[in-house]
Amino acid sequence: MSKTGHVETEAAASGGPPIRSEARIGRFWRDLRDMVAGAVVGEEASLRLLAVALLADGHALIEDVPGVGKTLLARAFARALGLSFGRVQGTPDLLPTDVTGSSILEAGRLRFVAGPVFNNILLVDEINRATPRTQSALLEAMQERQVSIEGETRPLPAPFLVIATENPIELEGTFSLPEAQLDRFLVRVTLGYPSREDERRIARRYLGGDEPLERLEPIVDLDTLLALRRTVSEIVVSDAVEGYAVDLIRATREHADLRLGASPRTSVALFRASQAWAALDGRGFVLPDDVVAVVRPVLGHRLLLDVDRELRGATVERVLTEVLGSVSVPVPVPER
Amino acid sequence: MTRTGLVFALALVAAGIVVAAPGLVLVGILALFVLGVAELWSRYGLRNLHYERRIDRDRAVCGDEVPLDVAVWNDKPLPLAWLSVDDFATEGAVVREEPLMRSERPGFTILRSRWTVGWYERVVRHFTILADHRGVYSFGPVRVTVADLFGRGAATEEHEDRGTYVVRPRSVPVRLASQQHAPVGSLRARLSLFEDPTLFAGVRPYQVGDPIRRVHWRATARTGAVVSKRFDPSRAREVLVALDVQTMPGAHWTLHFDDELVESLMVAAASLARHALAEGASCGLAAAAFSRTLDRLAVVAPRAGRDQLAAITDLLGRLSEIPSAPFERLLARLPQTISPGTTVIVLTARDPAPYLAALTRLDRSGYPVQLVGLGPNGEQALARARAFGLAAVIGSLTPNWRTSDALVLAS
Repeated sequence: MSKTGHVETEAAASGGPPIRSEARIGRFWRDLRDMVAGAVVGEEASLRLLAVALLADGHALIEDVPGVGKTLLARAFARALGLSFGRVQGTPDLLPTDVTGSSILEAGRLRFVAGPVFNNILLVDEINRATPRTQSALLEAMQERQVSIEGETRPLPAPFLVIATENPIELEGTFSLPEAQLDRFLVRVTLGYPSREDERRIARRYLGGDEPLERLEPIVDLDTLLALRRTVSEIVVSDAVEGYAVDLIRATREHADLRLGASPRTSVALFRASQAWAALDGRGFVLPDDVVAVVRPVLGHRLLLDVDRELRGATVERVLTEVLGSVSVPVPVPER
Repeated sequence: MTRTGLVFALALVAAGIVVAAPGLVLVGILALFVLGVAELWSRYGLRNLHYERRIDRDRAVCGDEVPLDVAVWNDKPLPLAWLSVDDFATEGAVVREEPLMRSERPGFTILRSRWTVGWYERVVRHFTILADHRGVYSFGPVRVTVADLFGRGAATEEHEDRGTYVVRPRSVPVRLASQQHAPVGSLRARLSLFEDPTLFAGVRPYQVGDPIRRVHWRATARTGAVVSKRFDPSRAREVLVALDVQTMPGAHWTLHFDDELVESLMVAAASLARHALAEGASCGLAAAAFSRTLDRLAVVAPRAGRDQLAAITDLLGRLSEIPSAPFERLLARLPQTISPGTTVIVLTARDPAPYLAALTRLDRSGYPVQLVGLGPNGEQALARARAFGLAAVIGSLTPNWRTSDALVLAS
């Protein structure tokens, strides 16, 4: 690995010219995007953030209104990657054991029945409808990547990605996630409504009773995926870009509209997400543009507005715009 | 260019030539020039002319100043010597630098600005909105008029370009005149006999009389014996501020109201909600007032969350000064909205006699009621409520709702 860019190479299996590792990630992203597009229309930006969360070993929180395709996107993502997929519907009577699994008495002996958490990708629909106790159990699994059940610790499969969804409209009877738990999610994704043309394509696709998910094929095997993840952590972050990201984080702590700025853990999340974002472009180094691209998804759910400022119309989105405008972007000086 | 004017100007020129009168020809040419100039501005004056309005934020708190920038961009080679922009604003909006003018449209005033804009010039003017009264305000539509070099109105057009902002009431700290009182939810905390269906605590053997929905089917299948779900008693405090916006005695539909009292009620409601949420309680708001929706009863269900205070104060900002329904109707509907055990804080500035029976029913059916009386009728409200066995305190915002730094509650 060099400081000027990632140059580690691998000989192609066919004996052809060597392929740089990050270039393989770029190709992986293009394949993933094309495959998922067969089932999901016009959600490339959201899909890319899910890929960032997967490659950076994080988790994703999708926040949007019902019916915009949150579940479809998560299922298509899992299917295109050939990963096992589990789903939990957040309800007030959901128990921690409904997520982690439990032992049942069978022919006089206890047999462990694994819960949906023992899948590579776990979709937790409406996580804020589950009680804090269940949320805590799930979030502990997300952090530790293992669960302790009846005194026995069981590791979760790798990769392990939790995609949790929240509906920001129907808030009655919900338990909002505390800041410490929101911090566990690497990125927050919002899908938004499709464009007019995309909506017509969606309608056309489903008019014939077609089930596009069935057509999706895995684009990568598990070993390759894990190797790609290892590559992401080796993407170079130069001193200038590192300083830029740190300055952005520190600027949030000094912003008057915020009660709680970004934590050092958020700095780590920002670096990891920037690395993954750069890798998806097939680059072996992080540009300031990569940092800017992931600032909103990484920081948006971690900042806490001051109550008085919030009542005066302050928003996290606006704070981040101001923060991005206040920190100077490092510009490379050409060598003479 | 009018046909008559053109014919007249050409006739002058023709007549001048025929009678060999250079003065007449000159007058005709001048008339043609004036008509041509007017036609130029009439046809092209509004082309590529952009008016932009930017309200710095869409939410404000009573007493704030909100920057308002308006810009005119003349994106063409024709300068505009005289441009008038009428920006229609909701009645009650105040701009510090420019008194708003009366409008021919009911419910609107006009922010009128006059400009001289060169070719390809963009001019920005900075104003300040004084958010001195609660409510929902909007700017727009915009009427743009250009005049020719002689100041004659050449062309007018109107754009449906709206910008809206909500002025929320102030919220001040709640202070207790005596520490014996805990107005927001203390009664609820003592009443923990209600089960919270969200706090699943395990299973127990089925007992005769358990509803079928209570049976835990999976555990029943696993154990081979019918078992029912068991829930923990509710521990969370839930508070609902029920706001009585009526300030005058009599029927709810009379259009009279005491503006100072209404605004005091709004500030008190926002302050109580903020206090409750800061103490970790779930808080909601209900009022029998219009809130710019089709619903006659305005309700934000109790919830603890980061954005709950914003939702409550937003609703307070939108509430009308006059009631939309009798307050007792709102009280009768509350059990459909809130869970048993929720403390109902009734905030009123009038004699509560018309709805005391409804309050007593609420209190007896498991919704502890705490009445907060405000204003000159506060003492009377306190005495009435206590006579009916209800808990009550007097609230005061001294010297007034605009400048008070605390809502003081006293028995």
